[in-house]
Amino acid sequence: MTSITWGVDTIILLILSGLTKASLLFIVAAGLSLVFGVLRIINLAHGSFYMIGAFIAASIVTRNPEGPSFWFAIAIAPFIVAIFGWIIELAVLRRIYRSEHIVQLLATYALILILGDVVRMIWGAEYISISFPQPLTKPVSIMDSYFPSYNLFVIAWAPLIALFLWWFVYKTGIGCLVRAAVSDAEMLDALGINIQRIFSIVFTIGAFLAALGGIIVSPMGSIGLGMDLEILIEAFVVAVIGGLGSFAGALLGSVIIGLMHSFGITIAPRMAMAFIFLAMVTVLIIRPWGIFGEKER
Amino acid sequence: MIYRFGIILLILILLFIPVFATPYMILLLTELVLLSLFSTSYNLIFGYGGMVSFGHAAYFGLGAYTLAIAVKKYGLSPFVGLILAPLIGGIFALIIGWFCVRTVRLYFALLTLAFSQLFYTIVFQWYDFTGGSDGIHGIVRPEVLSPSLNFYYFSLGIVIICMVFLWRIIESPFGWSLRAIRENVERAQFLGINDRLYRLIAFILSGCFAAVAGALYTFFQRWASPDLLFWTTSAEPVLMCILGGMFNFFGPAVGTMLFIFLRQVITDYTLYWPFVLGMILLFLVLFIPQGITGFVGDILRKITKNYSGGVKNAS
Amino acid sequence: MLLETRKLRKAFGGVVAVNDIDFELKEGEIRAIIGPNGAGKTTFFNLITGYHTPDAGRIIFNGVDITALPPYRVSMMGITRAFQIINIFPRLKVIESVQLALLARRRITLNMFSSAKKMLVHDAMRILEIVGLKEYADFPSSNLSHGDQRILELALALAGEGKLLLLDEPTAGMSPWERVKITGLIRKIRDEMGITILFSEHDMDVVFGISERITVFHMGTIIADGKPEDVKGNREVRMVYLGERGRAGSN
Repeated sequence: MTSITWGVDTIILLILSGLTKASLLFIVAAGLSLVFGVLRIINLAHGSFYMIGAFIAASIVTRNPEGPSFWFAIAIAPFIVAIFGWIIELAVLRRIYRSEHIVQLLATYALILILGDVVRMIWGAEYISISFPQPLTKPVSIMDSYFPSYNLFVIAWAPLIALFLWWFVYKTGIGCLVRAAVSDAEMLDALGINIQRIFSIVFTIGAFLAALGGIIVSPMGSIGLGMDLEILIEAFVVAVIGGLGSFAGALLGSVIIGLMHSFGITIAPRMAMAFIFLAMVTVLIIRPWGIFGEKER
Repeated sequence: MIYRFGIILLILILLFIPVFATPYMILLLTELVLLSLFSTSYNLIFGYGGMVSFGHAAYFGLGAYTLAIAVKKYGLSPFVGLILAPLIGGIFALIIGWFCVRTVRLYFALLTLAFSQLFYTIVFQWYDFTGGSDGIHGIVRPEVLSPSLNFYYFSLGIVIICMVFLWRIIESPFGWSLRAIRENVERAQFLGINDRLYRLIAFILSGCFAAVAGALYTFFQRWASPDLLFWTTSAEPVLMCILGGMFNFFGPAVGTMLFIFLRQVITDYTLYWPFVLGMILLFLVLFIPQGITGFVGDILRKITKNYSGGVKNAS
Repeated sequence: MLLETRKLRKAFGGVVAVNDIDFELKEGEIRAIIGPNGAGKTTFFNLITGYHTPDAGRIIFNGVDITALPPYRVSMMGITRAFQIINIFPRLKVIESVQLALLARRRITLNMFSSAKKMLVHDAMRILEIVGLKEYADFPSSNLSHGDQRILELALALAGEGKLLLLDEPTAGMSPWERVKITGLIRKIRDEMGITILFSEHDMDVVFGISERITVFHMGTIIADGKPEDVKGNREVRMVYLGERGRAGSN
């Protein structure tokens, strides 16, 4: 047990840092869940999109460290990766929609290998660090302590994305088709609606979200190879606990894991991660489809 | 028949190849032999049992650490470690399997993955007992097994014995029942087969043999590291079974051989072995899902037309 | 009485599929269960074999209460079933499937040491001979024609060495010649092996051809039960059937 002084401000800080992590996890896990919910595919390469987004942002920023490069990156890079995701959907995923889960897992695992090495080819194996972007470089003071203002920015993203997704799924025409596709894709197909395009759009949004997560996280730590696997596992845990295919689940799951992480690392640093996986195991045993998920079949 | 001849030929090759091989090749061969056991043990539940586990590295790693800890921490003989490994592997497989066989398909895969990550994390963090991220180093081999050549024959011997056991299990009534469960669970149940029990038994056996492979591997490499339990290690036997063909006893071994061969050849030319591996895997998964042995088998069948039972009854 | 059900009941959601059914079957009978689609025949079979648990009521087989037993226990008790949907083992050879069924029946399937290939071949071949599939012994099951797969189904059920054989629409999707083959086979099984046969069917020629007694289901209850000629003349049965499309029985 580390000796920390447990004041109110410590707790608030831990909660805030937990929420920061939760926000990141939500953005990524929501994408993973979305793709699974609609396409019924577990895209293992989701983490790869995250990593690619981070590296692209890093490149843009390191090219022009002064100036608003980061904001430029966050505006442009997700779209670049989204287009890339679309290409992947076309080339690979389309062929495996009707395949067994094992085939999908192996194919997307192959993508991890391929994309991971592509990143290595382009950016090398070094770690890259970029700093907080301009207006958010100074920490804010909360009670007696300091908390990075950038992290508050990160936290703000989660409700934004949640709102966007809610709007998209429930308020747009495409979203309506997506919801229909989730309940009965074959029926929609029979009605003459282009399922293929819906799937492409959804997958592209998923890639977009993953990349967005990667870009947002880029100033917070070092960017390097292995990011893809790290986030994949974490997003997985979140999505499984919350329920694959559910946004509410992704939200709840990410908050749970985010807080477990920040409190866990402080209270019992060596056991924190183990507890998180224990949580995943428990959920899979007791309620495999997650808190908000639905039974498959 | 051809099959038996092929096996004898293979064993002869494995026995005599070291005579012509460079020391490096002997190391590769040892790795090949050990990983073949790993992937064949996996195929018991994968190809024959129809269970897609993404956490098989757990047993490999547990076997490895059993030997490492037995030797370094408790000063036991590595041979004791080798005997303990399948026991430990089996116990954990029993516990994990008990939960896992109650789930199906996707959730089975996820649960096996979650368990193996859990164990990875525990091994990674438990510095005092497992050496944490550093792993355990400096496992000493007894003098007689120090030279690579000797160790190769030692491994080969143990692996062959294990393979014989696996073969007998697969060709036994139990093995047939497992296949039936894979083909049609409901029907197998109606025949009176308690599928959960059989799956659990297969899971445990598979874990035991994987643990032996892991223990030998650590004995071979002289260290154990948490990576052995990471999920990417779990992906390797899956890959090798798919590569070589999962409906054939020697498929995984063939796949392992191809995998190692490709890895050697390609890393000589380029740094980007994962890229090439990924491309090959993608190609296989999309176009040749039955693996190399399945593919070759199909071709052989078409050529020889010796295949009894290829004609559809027209009544 | 070989098989009895007392006030057997099963509902799915709001729909009562099997509604307080009292049913009796004597040993050695060839009994047909008929009724329009959705009458509850399949659910009834599923309840007997343990695939579903009844909401109420009891099932008694050979004097033993088997109501809550899971499928594999029910089959051990002596009830075997051949399915409506082809339910075989695609990649296993024909002979292997039958051997396996026999091994399972004799409770040898936990044996991990002997070579299964050589076990019970004689008995397996005998069954294949009875059903007429002997020439296809080494074929992968998926290679058989539809009709022959149904017969393999039957062979697997026979290998269960049960006292009671349940058949789900045994002639569904078969050509007239195959239908003749199967009905002859059903009679042969009862006569030569002493197995009681309970089957559900839509084809009235088959039903009136071989069954010795007919039970008519409608909306989860039994509306008639008796010898074929009695059932044919039964007014309620005629109303139910003449009001339906499909293969209504002839007059």
